[in-house]
Amino acid sequence: VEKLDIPQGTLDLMILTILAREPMHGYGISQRLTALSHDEFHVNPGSLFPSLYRLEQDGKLKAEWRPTENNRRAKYYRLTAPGRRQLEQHRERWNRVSFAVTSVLEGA
Amino acid sequence: MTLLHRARSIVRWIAHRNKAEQDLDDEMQAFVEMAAADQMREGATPGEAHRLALLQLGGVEQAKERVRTGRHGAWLDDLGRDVRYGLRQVRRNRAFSAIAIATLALGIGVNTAMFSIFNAVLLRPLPFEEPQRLVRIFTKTPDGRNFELSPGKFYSWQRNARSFEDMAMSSGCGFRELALTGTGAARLVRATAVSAGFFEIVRARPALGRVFRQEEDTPGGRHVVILSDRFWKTELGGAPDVLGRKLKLSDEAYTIVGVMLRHLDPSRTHRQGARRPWESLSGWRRAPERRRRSLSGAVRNECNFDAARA
Repeated sequence: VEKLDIPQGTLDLMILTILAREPMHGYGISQRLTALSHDEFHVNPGSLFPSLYRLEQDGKLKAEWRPTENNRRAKYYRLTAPGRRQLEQHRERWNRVSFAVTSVLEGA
Repeated sequence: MTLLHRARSIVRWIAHRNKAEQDLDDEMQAFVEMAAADQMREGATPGEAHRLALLQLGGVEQAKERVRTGRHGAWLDDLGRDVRYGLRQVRRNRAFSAIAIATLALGIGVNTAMFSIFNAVLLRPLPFEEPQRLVRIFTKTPDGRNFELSPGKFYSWQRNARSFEDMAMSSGCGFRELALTGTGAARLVRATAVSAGFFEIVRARPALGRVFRQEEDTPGGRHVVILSDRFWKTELGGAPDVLGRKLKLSDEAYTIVGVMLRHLDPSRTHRQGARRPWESLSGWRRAPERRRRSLSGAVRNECNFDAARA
């Protein structure tokens, strides 16, 4: 089955949403994304990590190295207060966009 | 907040480049290991699991490169690379580079020189009051070359001209070379000759003493000299009692009658003139080495240039 492309601009929103629940490392985020999207989205690390680094640079995320439950070391990302604010704003906007698109499709 | 974060992060990236690279490397490694562990849990052999994990990462180096170029401040890396590449190219092809650099240097230099001249000649106003009312008169031969003005002609013009408030004669950029003796080692001094009335026309007032009088223009009159500010300060130490003192110039005694205010330093109209004193026409007329002379005239208030030219 052909996988869906992640729509432009929604990856950051989904990353922030996943991290709002609990801090997580890159691999965990990609797994969670696939599971939550019912196997429709497979994020390429070549897209995921640039997004993570950019969000960290902007102060939306904070990263630290911690041991995993399997005793590996991994870099965990955690939402900061500005990150939480951005999440709220973007989620609000996305809701409006998706409602608007759905309305057009169903109203036509 | 965001901007500050960004700036700090860029600085960190530059300052701790190696650590940041190591960090990125470790993170990718951790990703591959975790993916491989998951594959093995699903039954893959270790080798196969690792291969599948690498596949999932989509090429470790590509992923890392995308992180690097996606960062804020990546343009600094690009800039550094471009500069290094440029320098390598310059070194590789020395002859071509030398010609290119010389061409640029010459072009910029010539432009600067041209503008300096343009600025001095056309843009910067003359250091005189009412410069728009000043005209300079040249005499020409029938075939159009500039020709030296004779004092006789000058006096007749001065008497008869109606369109000018006044007229004066000056050696302009020309000068007379005189040997200054009696103030230490003998020195060569270049003097500008001006007729009486010259300083009034350019509205220049002396700081000390007075300007030339009419009778000091006549041949055989007493030799008088007015010092420029620079000459006064460098040659006579700016002594306040110079008026009436004699300067020995080419074995003749010249009485100092005035010192000009600094702002009429001729250096501001022509470069070499900074130190020159002024002498009256009395000495000039008898002098063997005659140089260019020109007229300065100030147009009368009510008159326009067209009428003056006519």
